[in-house]
Parts: sequence; C-alpha cells; structure tokens
Amino acid sequence: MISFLDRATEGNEELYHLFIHYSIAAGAVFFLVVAATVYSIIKFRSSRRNNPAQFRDNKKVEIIAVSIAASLIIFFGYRTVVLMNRINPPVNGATPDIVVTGHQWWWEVEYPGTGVTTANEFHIPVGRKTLVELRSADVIHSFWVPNLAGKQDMVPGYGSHLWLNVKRPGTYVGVCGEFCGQQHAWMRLKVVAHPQEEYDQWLAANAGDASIPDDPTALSGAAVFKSMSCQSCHAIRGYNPGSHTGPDLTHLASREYLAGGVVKNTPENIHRWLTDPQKVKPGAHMPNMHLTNQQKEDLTAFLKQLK
Amino acid sequence: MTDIAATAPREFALRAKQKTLLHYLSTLDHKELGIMYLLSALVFFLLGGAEAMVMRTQLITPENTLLEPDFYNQLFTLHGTTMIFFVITPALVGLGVYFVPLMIGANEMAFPRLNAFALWMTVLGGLVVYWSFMAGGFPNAGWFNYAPLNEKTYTPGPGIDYFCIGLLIAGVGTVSAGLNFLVTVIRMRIKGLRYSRMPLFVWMVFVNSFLIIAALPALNAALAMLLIDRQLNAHFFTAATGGSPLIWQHLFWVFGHPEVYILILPGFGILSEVFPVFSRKPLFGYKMVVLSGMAIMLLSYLVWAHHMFSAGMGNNANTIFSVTSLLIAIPTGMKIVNWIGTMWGGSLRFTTSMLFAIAFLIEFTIGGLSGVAFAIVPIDWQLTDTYFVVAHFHYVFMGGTFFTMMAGLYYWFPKMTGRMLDERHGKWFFALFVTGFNLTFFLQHFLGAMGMPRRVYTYPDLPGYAVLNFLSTMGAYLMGAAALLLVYSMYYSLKHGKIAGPNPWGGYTLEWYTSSPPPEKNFGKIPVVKTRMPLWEQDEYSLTPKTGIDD
Repeated sequence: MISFLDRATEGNEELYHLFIHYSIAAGAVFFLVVAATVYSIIKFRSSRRNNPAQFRDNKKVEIIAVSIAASLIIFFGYRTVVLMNRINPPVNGATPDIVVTGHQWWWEVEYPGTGVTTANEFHIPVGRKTLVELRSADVIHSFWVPNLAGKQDMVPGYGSHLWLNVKRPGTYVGVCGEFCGQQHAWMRLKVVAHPQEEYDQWLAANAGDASIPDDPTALSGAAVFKSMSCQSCHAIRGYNPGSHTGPDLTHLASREYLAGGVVKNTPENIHRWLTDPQKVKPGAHMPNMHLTNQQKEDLTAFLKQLK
Repeated sequence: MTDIAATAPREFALRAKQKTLLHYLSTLDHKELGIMYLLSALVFFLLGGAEAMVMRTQLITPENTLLEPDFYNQLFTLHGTTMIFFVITPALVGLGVYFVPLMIGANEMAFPRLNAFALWMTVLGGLVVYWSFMAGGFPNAGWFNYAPLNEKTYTPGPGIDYFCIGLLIAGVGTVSAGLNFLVTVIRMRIKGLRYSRMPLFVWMVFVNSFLIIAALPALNAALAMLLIDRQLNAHFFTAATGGSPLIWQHLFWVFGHPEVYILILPGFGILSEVFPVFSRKPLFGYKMVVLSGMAIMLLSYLVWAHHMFSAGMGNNANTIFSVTSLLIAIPTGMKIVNWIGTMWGGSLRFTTSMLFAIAFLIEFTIGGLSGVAFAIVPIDWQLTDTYFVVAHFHYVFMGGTFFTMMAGLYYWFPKMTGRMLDERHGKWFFALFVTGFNLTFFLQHFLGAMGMPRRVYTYPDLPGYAVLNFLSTMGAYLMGAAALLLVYSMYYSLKHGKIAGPNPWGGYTLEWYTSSPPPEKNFGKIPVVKTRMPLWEQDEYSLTPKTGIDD
C-alpha cells in the first residue's frame, strides 16, 4: 500500500516518529477544544441559565493558553530543523548515483558512468545511501515516492537532490507531485529496491545494448522504426542512437507500464498506442504517425522483444 | 416603534421594485452596494459550486473518462480562482461595505464613488475571467498558475491572458475597497466611538485593509510581468533565457499568504460579534482579539515561502519560514480560546448563526492543526500538493471562512432585508451542509497520505482510492443540495420571512439601533456611544443582556 508512514527508508523512519508525536499533540489540542465546546453547549444553554456573569477576560487562562502553544511550537520547531537537516543534508559536490529528469509527462532516468538510461521505472540498491539528482526538461515537476521520501521539485534552471537510504527491498510507486499540465495525472513512476548483488546484475543487464531480433516480423519492425523517423525522439542503444526527446526504448519490454502508467505494457496496448497516442493519453507529445496496420504489427513485434 | 418595524421591510421591497436598472448601476449607497457585492458573490458561488460538482463527478470512480483532461484542468483552475477572488473576497468586502458604516454610526463610506468603482471592478474582473471561454478556453494552469507552465510555450491558449487581465481588474477593485475601509474607519467614527470601543468586526476589517493594500500589489506586479512575457515575448519567468520560475512563486505567495488571512480576518470579526450576542456575555479578551489580529497581519507577511518548502530553497531558508509559520499558530489559536471563553458561563442561544459559529470552532481547529503540520518541513515534503492539502485548505476556507460567512448571513439578513432568514430551513441547511462538508473533506486527508496528488483528472484503482473518492463525491452532492436549500430559503424568507424589527437578536452594536432595513441615512436619531457595547451598557437604551429582550 502507498503510504508516507511506511518506514521503508531511514528518512521515512524518522519522519514516522515525528509525525506520530505531532499527531498526539494535535489530538490533545483538538480534544481540549472539542471538550470545552461540548461542555459549554450542554452546561451553558439558555434553558439552564439566565443572567450570566458579565466577565470580560481572565488573564490566567490567556497566559496558560499562550504558554502551552508557545512550548509546543518551540518543541516541534526544534524537531523540524533537526530532522530536515538529517533527511536532506547538502550535497557538497558528491556525484549523483542517479539523475532523474522530469518531462511532460514521463521520467527520464540516467545512471551516470554506466551508460544506463531508462524511463518511468528504475532500480536502486538497498542499504546504501543513494544520491538522486533532480532536473526538469520543461516545466516544474516534483519527484514523489511516498514510501521512500517526501517531494522535491524539479525546477527548470535549478538543481535539486534527494538522499535515499532504502532499508527494505520491494517495489514502490510514486507520481509527479506538482501540477505540470494536461497529463499530470499520468506521470507515475515505479522504483524497485534490490539487495546490492541483484541491483548490480540489473545495472549490468541494462547497460547492455538492445537485443537484435532474429524473427522476420520484428526485423521489419526495426526497419519501420528507422524509416518512420521514430529515432528523432527515441533512442535504442546498440541499434539506433536516436534522441532523448522521448523515453529511451532500449529495454522497453522489461517495464511494467507504458506512457507514465496509463496502460500496462502488453503487445495489445503497444499496438493501441501506436495507432493513436492521443486516444490513450490525450495531450501526450507523441503524435499519431499514421502507420499502416502491417507497420504497427511489425513495430509491436520489434518493441515487445526489447528485453 | 413596532409600526415602523412592521412596515419597513414592505416599504423596502416596494422601493426596491420601483428602482430601475440604471439606479442600481449608478447607486453610491453603501447598503445597496453591499447587497450587490453579496449577490455577485452568490452568483459566482453557484458557478464555482457547479464546477466542484462536475469535478467530483469525474472523480467518482477510478479512470473515469467523463471529462477530457484539459477541461478538468480548466475546471479546477476556475473553481479556485472563482471561490477566492469572486466569492469569498467580495462577500467579506460586501458585508464590510454594508455594516462598517452602520457599526461606527456613519451614514456612508468615506468615498462613495470609490466604493461603487470597487464593486464594478470586481464584477468586471470576474466577467473577464469567465469570458475567456468564448475566446477559446478557460485558464488551465491552476489558481496559483506556476511558471513556466503559465508561459505561452507550454500553455498557448488565451485563458491565462484573460486570467491575468481579469485578476488585475479585480485587484484594482479590492485595493480600492481596502483604502476606502481604512479611511472610513479612521475618519468616519461617530463621537465617542474610540478605537478601544470599536466593534470587533470593524477592527478586523480595519486590520484587513492594511493587508489588502500591501499584499495585492505583489500579485498585480506578477500578473503584469506574466502578461509582458506572454504578449511581448519577455522572459521574466523562463529559465532558458535568464529568467526564473521561482520569482513567480515568490511574488505570488508574497501576495498569496496574506490573502489567506485577508479571507479569514473579517470572518474572525463576524464570530466576535456573533458569540457574545448569542452567549449574552461580552467578548472574552477584547484586547487579545485585537492584538492577535494585528499579530496575524504582521506575521502573515513573513510566512509566504512555506508554500515552497519542496522547491529546493535550501535548509536555511526553510528554517526561517518554518519558524515564522509555526509562530502564527499562537495568535490564531488564541482566538479559539477567546470564543470558547465567551461561551463559558454564558446563556447560549442556538440560532443557525450560532450553530455555524460553534461548528467553526471544531472545523477550523482541524484545519489549523493540519496547517501546523505543513510548517514542519519534512511533513510538508510528504503532504504538500496532495489531497491532504486540499482537505486542509477546505477546512480553513469552508469550515473556516465560509462558516463565518453563514454565521454572518443568518445574523445580519434580518437587518439587511427586514425579515428573518427562516430558522427551520436554517437548521436543515446547517445539518446537511456540515455532514456533507466533513464527509467530503475529512476523507481527503487519508487520500493525500496514501499518495493521491491534487489536480489529477483521474487516478488508478489503487487500494482504498475508489471507495474514499466515491464517499467524498457523495459528500459533495450533499453540500450541493444544502446550497440549493439555502438559495430557496433566502428567496422564501424575502417574501414570507418573519418581520424582524430593529433588534431581533438583542445585539449591542449600533446597527441594531436603527430600523431593519435602515433608512437611507442609516440613523433617524444619532446614537451616542459611551461604552464598548452601547445598546447593552448604556441605560438610555436599556437593552442589557440581563433583561433578556428576545425571550
């Protein structure tokens, strides 16, 4: 289940305690207000009382109330500053392990120094501090995987970062946290956390080039990819360097979803997407390429084997 | 006295019928202008409410395809803009325009023409924003309209241009109203009505006018800069050409956070009138309410960047704004103590007005406590821009401001029309609305904590999302039904409501000294003020709370 109270990372673990403590304090204040209100309603209704005493204030009550409020604020202010600096310490020139770039409406994920580039779904190691650098290619997006960490915005022209120290292997989902235009709703992402060895395996597998197909349908699909100018936005490493305007497709078949989570990654959905992206995700920046049915089938066969 | 009281409302209705459209377009009477402010707020409220109903219908089930994503984005932009700039602001200004002169014993606002100008600018601003639909689409980048999404590159349609021009026009109106209140309160108080005797509603409108005058210009500057970007290809807010998207956020929230208090301070004033009258007891801690209002005003200029904790300002800047935001909870929380203290030991009358005031205490406390959570930066990082925030600000604006407006409406409707606003309908309205409100918004706290961001036209069928959204939509329908009941009840009460008489609630402020509705010059006989609560404490008016005049 998605929840920011999941203690899957060290940061979230500490946040959990702070949130519980704040909830207890807030609950107590709320109880006091409700109790005093209900008591007044019952005790002081007009049918019970007339000629109320006309007092105008009570310095003692006012001083006590202000002192309670002030001490709560000092306590939680202190905790805030301490925890904020623990969760998000300055980078001090450290090189990022992962660079995530927000695009309308998908995530580009690069692993500097490894040659790995992927989109919308990525992997991180467990039990190690991982530095994620955040950038934007167009408007403001916000990187948010509730079970792992709070939001950090991706503001064009500014860099931001996030430290993740995942304690528990698993799959965690997130979504863009800042309104970024028409398809803000379908800018979802998936993060898989592995133990170090599995993570290294995944990284090695994804550093490899795309598989060259041997079946003839897929081969003609590869030709369609070239001839229909797909490479002016998409890259398939080892096959066509292409461009990074759209998601990297080198290992497309290893992802669970298409187009920022809007549909599952199945051959039928790839076919639907190629038929008219605007029907599947209105506003998406991929145009309808007006492929023939044969071209679509060939291209689908090619894409679905890009493991 | 009774005769005049009985005929005044009928005469009022008769006179209103004889007046021409030209009369209303050109009137300078603060009471007519006040009512027109309220009517325009009502029309925009019905529009903004209808938008909310359509949005909640879209969200009733996961992956719903009822609305196109872009239309949904237009709806939530319009809903927020409408409710903030064309409903709450004008409604509170309208109550001020009507009642501030009456409560200070004046017969007009200081600048009657400016008063009319302010109203018509506000109305015109709203019409311009809505006219965008004819030009090719409503604005669709959210009410805080972040750069660079608001730039032509990313949002080429005309909606945002209309948004800028509409809000600039309305902004001129609001600043004019603020200036007018300021001068009115300083210059027009009747003899004897010192600052230390001023009714709390007047105090809060007065404090508020400082906020309006100093905060709105930041918004107007930002809007002008954005228009220059969009129409003349400048680049204030585009990073690639040397501008900064964050400057927009700073300018917007330098206005935007004081605006939040602009929308609540007059409400605090209304409550400070309603609680004492229906508790038959003076306000608990008059000085504290005034001083905490001023503290809120000053602090509200220093908290704007708590809307930007996740924007990467760095931990030092975040620390400062976290501390100031926590501090503002003290004066705000104190007011709750003041109002409960007012009820304490009183003799409570549960009119609809009082019910809304009491419900406010609970709802606003929820909204305040969830608000303090956002000052705790690591919690803010998780919950900002989610449905938790949607829940939070609806608890503040609806459970807060809107409830105070309802308390004020039921309290002052008799004064404005001469007839009581039907209490039987009122209790039904209250029950339906409060139930619907809590059903809709309380559940949204959980949706936010479960990872549902705000401003999404649809959502995947993740565990819990479907049922919580369904119930939330049901709550919204309940509120919609309640709002229609209120409109019907006002219409019904105008025709058949009980005749109110000058002082149906046994109030102690000067507006209750004159007939309902008041004559053109407000007071037949000029009142004399020697105390804070003239109608209760001065023997010549002999309406002490102890005589229980409404029993």
